[in-house]
Amino acid sequence: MEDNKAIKEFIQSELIKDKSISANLKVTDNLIETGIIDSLGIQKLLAYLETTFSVQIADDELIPDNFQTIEAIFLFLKGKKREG
Amino acid sequence: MDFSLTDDQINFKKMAIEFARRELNNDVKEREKNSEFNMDGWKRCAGFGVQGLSMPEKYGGLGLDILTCILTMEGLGYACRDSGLLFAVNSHIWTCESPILKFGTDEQKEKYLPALINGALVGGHAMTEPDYGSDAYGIKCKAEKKGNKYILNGTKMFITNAPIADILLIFAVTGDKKGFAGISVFIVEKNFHGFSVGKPLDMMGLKTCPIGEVILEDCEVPEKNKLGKEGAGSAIFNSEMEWERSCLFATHLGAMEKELEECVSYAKVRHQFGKPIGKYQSISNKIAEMRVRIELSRLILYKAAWMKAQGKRAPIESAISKLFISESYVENSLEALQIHGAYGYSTELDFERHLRDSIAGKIYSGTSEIQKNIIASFLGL
Ligand SMILES: Cc1cc2nc3c(=O)[nH]c(=O)nc-3n(C[C@H](O)[C@H](O)[C@H](O)COP(=O)(O)OP(=O)(O)OC[C@H]3O[C@@H](n4cnc5c(N)ncnc54)[C@H](O)[C@@H]3O)c2cc1C
Repeated sequence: MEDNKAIKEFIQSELIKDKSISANLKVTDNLIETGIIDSLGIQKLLAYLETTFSVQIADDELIPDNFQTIEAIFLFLKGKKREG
Repeated sequence: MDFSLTDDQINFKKMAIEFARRELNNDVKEREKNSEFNMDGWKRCAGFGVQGLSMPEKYGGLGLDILTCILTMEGLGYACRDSGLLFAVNSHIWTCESPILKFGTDEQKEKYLPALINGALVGGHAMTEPDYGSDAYGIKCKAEKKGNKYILNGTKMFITNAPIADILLIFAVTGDKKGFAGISVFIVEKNFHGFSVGKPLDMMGLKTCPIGEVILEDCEVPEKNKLGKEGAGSAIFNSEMEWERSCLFATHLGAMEKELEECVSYAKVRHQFGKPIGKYQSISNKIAEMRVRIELSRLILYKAAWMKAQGKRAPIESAISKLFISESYVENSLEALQIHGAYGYSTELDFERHLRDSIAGKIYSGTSEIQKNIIASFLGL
C-alpha cells in the first residue's frame, strides 16, 4: 500500500499539470484514457519505477494493461517483485 | 564506462574505411545528380556484414558488441560519400531488423532476419502520416481484426526506403484505446494485397536514399505478422527510437571527422594576403570549434550506446546524443563550406552535400525541438 501511495504521489506531482485533477486522482482512474500518461509520461514513469522499486521493466511489458491505473501499476510491480 | 578501444575495434573501423573507399564511392556524383539508389552498394554492404553487424550469428549476423558496430559505422560515415546509402542501411538496421529481433516471434525472426541481414530484403518502418509527424501517437492508420487477418487502411508519409522496401513495419491503431496505448505494429510485405507505394519524393538532401509515401487500402495482413502484442506499438517505437538516436548518428560523427581533416589541410595550403588562411584566428577558431563538437559528439554517442548495450533505458542520453550530433553536423558542415569559400559552395566538393544531408538529421528520428521537449520534461518542465 505504501508503494501504491508513492506511485500516486509521483503521478500527481510529475505527470499531472492541472492541480484540481491532481487533487482528485483515484487509484482506479484510467491514466491512459484521461491522457495523464502520454508518450513522454510513460518514459518518466518507467524511469521512476525502475529506480525507486529496483526493478527492470522490459520493453515488451510496456502494454496498456500494465499501466492503465495506479492499481494496475501496483499489481504489475508486485508481480515483478515476486518473480525477482 | 570504459571507452578504450581494442585492436579489433580499431581494425574494424579501418576495414570499414577501406571497404567504403574501394566499393561504395564509384559514380557517387552521378547517382547524387540522378537521385539514384545504389542497390549494388547495398549488396556490397551486406557482403561486408554491415546489415548484420549487431545481429546474432544464428541469423547470419556478426554478433558484434555495440562499440564495434558504432566504430564501423563511424568508418563508413568517414569514407563513404553516399550518405543516402548509409541512411538507408541505418534505417533498415535500427527500425526494422532490431525491432524484429527484439519483439518478433521465433517464426518471424527465422523468416525475415536472415534475408534482411544478407541484403536480399530491404526494410524500414512507417509511423509518420500526412497529418501526424511529431505527434506520432495521433496517427489514424487503422488495423481492424477480421478472422485471422488484420485489415489496414491509411497513408504513411516520408518513409525511408519505402520505394524499394520488401517489408515495412507499419504502425496502426488497433481497438479503441487512445493515443500511445492503442498502437500496434505489423510486418507488411510489399506483395500483400492492398499495399502500394508512391514515387520517391524529391527531398533537399539524402538524394540517393529513396523516401516515399505508403498507401494501405484494405491491406490484408495475416495475424501472425503482428509484431509484439496488441498495444505494444509505443514500446516498439520507443525502443527503436532510443536505439536509432543512440547509434545511427555514428555515421555523422565519421562524416564530421572527414570534414575536419579536409578543413585543416585546406587551411594550411590556401594562402590569402600572403599567409595560410589557418593563420587567421577567424578560421582557426572555426576549426577548433569543429573539433570540440566532434569530441563531445563522440563522448555522448559512446555513452548512449554503452547504456543501451547494458540493457539500460536511455531516454535522456539518446535525446541529448541525437540532438547534439545532428546539430553539430549541420554547424560543422556550414563552417567547412565557409572555410572553403566558393570552392566549398560548388558541387565539385562535398561540403554543400554534407550540409543538405545534415539538415535532415534535425528532422527525422524526432526533431530537435522534440528532443528538447524530452530533455525538459525529465527536468520536470
Ligand atoms: C529524411 C527523412 C526520413 C524520414 N524517414 C521516416 C521513416 O522512415 N518513417 C517514418 O515514420 N517517418 C520518417 N520521417 C518523418 C519524420 O519522422 C517526421 O518528419 C518528424 O517526426 C517530424 O514530423 P513533421 O515533419 O510532420 O513535422 P511536424 O511535426 O509537423 O513539426 C513541424 C515543426 O513544429 C515543431 N513542433 C511540432 N510539435 C512540437 C512541440 N510539441 N514542441 C515544439 N515544437 C514542435 C517541429 O519540431 C517542427 O519544427 C522522415 C523524415 C525525413 C526528413
